[in-house]
Amino acid sequence: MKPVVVDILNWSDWAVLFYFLAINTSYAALILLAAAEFYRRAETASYAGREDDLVNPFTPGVTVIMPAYNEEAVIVPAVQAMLSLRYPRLEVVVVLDGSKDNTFGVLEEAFGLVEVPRLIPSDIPTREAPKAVFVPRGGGPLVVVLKDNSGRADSLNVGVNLATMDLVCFVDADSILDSEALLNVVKPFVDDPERVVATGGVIRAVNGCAVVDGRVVRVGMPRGWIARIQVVEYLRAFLLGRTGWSKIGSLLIISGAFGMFRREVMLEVGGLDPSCIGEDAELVSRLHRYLRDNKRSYRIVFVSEPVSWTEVPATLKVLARQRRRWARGLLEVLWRHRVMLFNPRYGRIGLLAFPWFLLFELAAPFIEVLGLPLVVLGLAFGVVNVYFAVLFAVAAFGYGLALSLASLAIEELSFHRYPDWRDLRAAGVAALIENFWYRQLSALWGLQGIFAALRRQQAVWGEMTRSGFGPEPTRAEPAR
Amino acid sequence: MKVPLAVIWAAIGVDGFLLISFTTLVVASRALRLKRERTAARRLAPLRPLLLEVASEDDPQAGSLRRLQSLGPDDWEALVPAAAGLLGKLRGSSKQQIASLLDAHGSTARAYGDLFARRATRRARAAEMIGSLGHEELAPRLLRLLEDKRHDVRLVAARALGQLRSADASAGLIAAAGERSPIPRGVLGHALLRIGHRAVPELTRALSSPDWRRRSLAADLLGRLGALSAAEQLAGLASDDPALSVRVGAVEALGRFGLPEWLGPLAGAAGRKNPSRLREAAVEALSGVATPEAVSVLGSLTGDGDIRVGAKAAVSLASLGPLGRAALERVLSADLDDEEKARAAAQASGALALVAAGGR
Repeated sequence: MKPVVVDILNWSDWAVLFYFLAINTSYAALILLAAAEFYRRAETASYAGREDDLVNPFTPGVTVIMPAYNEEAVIVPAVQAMLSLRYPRLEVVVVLDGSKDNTFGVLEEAFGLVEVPRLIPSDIPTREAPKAVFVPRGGGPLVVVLKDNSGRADSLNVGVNLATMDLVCFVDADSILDSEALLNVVKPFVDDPERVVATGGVIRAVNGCAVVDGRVVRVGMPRGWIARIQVVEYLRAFLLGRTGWSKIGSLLIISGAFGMFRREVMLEVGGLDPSCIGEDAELVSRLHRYLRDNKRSYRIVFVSEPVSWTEVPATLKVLARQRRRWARGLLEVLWRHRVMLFNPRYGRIGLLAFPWFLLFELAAPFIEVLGLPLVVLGLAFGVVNVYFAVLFAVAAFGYGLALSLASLAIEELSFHRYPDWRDLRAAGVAALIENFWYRQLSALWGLQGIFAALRRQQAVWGEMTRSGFGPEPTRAEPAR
Repeated sequence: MKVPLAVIWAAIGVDGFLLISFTTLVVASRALRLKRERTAARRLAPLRPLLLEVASEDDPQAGSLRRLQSLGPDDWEALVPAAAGLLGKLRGSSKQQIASLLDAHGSTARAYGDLFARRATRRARAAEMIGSLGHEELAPRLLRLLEDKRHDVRLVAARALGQLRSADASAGLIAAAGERSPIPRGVLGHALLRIGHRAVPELTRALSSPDWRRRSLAADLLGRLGALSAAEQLAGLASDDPALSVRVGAVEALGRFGLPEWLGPLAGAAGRKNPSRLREAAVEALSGVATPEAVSVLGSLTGDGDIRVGAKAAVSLASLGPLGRAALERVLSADLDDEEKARAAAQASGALALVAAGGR
């Protein structure tokens, strides 16, 4: 066995070095693109005309669609917060996806819901039809729909069928939007109405923040390290990574927790695919494919300033489930739209974004997880020099850590959302310790998700334990 | 291993340099920002009340105004965003006072000069300030910026022209809605709405434009401005224009006028052979007319195969008061002997329930 290990290690050392260099350098490029974009936005913010949009009768109407499953703890403040967003033409559609708890009961009591018979167009075919539609007694732009459980994507499709506005915004029931969030995420539609078909807003972790009346009033770092590491990860991968992709017209993922779409185009592509567990990314890939196939000029834009705050997993169990789901979703998306991969007909999507996600997102778990036993074997056989292995690891992790600190620096220069010095220190430490167990576990979970997809195991969303929001910083997880 | 140790050490060296640089950047940028904010707050604290006194005309001896006019450059720089921000919210003599402050410190002259500066951000900020100041005589200069090479500058110029409320800008704004201009219709439309009735002659002329985008914008705005003088032309466009968007705009305009003599074109636009978008607009417009004939047309549409058209017809009837509700009751009491009548009954029942709930 030793000669085989020696051969593999001899063959792979440069390859692994090059791979680490390539993956981190591509992230560095995305971070630089994002920094340029943040600078541009800061320069133009004073004359962007957001206040004008608020009073402009031509500002497009928005239907916010909130699918909800067992959200009794958070649904009422979430809906109240949506209804009080600063936006001139707003409708909120809550789709109750067969909740087993008292989600409907608390809504009915809080908003005085009454049933209204309503014929619902089937613009997008859905698995489950609505059983009943409710509106508040006394009026108001709220519609609540009851249906049997058929999953999040199908619920969103039901909401799209019910929507009466030109733009639909998908928001998770456990998310909290900044009061200006809709105005900001609509802005690209207002400024470039003929080409923009979708926009995505940034997601941040609400764990550790104080929430009053459905608004984040004080931003803080979570208490547990699992959530703290995710804060840094969200900054690097979501805020900066997606801004970078958007800057070069290659955004592939709009989070389902906060994304806006032109309803007409949603209907053209047939809505979300309920059979795909990564339905958000699948929808965006399908939009790219459809619009490029039809030679349409379009833009899909990531907006960094509006913020949707969401509770991130605070336990390893829930985090593992989420990461398996993400990896599985990515594999499904890349497989379904493999025709775009390396296909020049699809421009940057086919030649840049898809290959990047294949090589650096999907393949990374294989390389990280399979590399570790190889190194252990090499050490056991005395093939790997311990001194060299340690230096190699320091170099690789050092680059990753530098990127995380670069993300923190750009966050501090652009948004400075975390006011406390202690938060900055905690973020720095989280960026460091992320390299020693979190990345390896994430890779392992990613691998499990990919194998589950390959074995065609039943996809399960699983339940996210909610702690609800309050004026004191949320403490969803035990301190570690 | 084939990778030389020197390569690894070099990588570690670069990593170390980056780590120290970024950590320093985080700490230094926060420290500097906090210091800057504290300085600005200290400077602004005594000045903000004076600015509010000037803005609220609570400065009978003009003492606050004189003090603000004599501020040094650093203090003025701290105050200028607040002063410029107030400009757009004020009217009359309060606005004049703040404008005089900007004049005294040379901000207005700088904005004039910056309108054609090399840097796009300076051009845009200048246009924004001139719009807020309301200097109507500068409309021709802003009109030139509608063709600026930068999109954000064109948008600011269009908004600023709306704030000037100069009739002379109407033709330029309408022209900017043409095929080759990428200024969004919503921005141009809002600017023209701000100009108001003084834009009606140009808008009416634009109804005959060969460019459908201009016709569409003009039709929509003439309706919003209540320009009854254009009703006959709009009725013609509602029936015959080759562009759907123009027909929709004309139908919506006729609905806003609410005149019974234009029921024919509206009923025609609601006909089943037309595209859904036009039909939905026509149904809403019919509720604006609100005559027994319009009620009859709406009643016949409640059972429409296009569920959105049917729902709009039913909700429109419900919004018409006793006349419309009686029509819905009649739909409900009819025999449900075919699919269309069943659909009509469901829509009627939904609309009445919505009214009972206090909704639309």
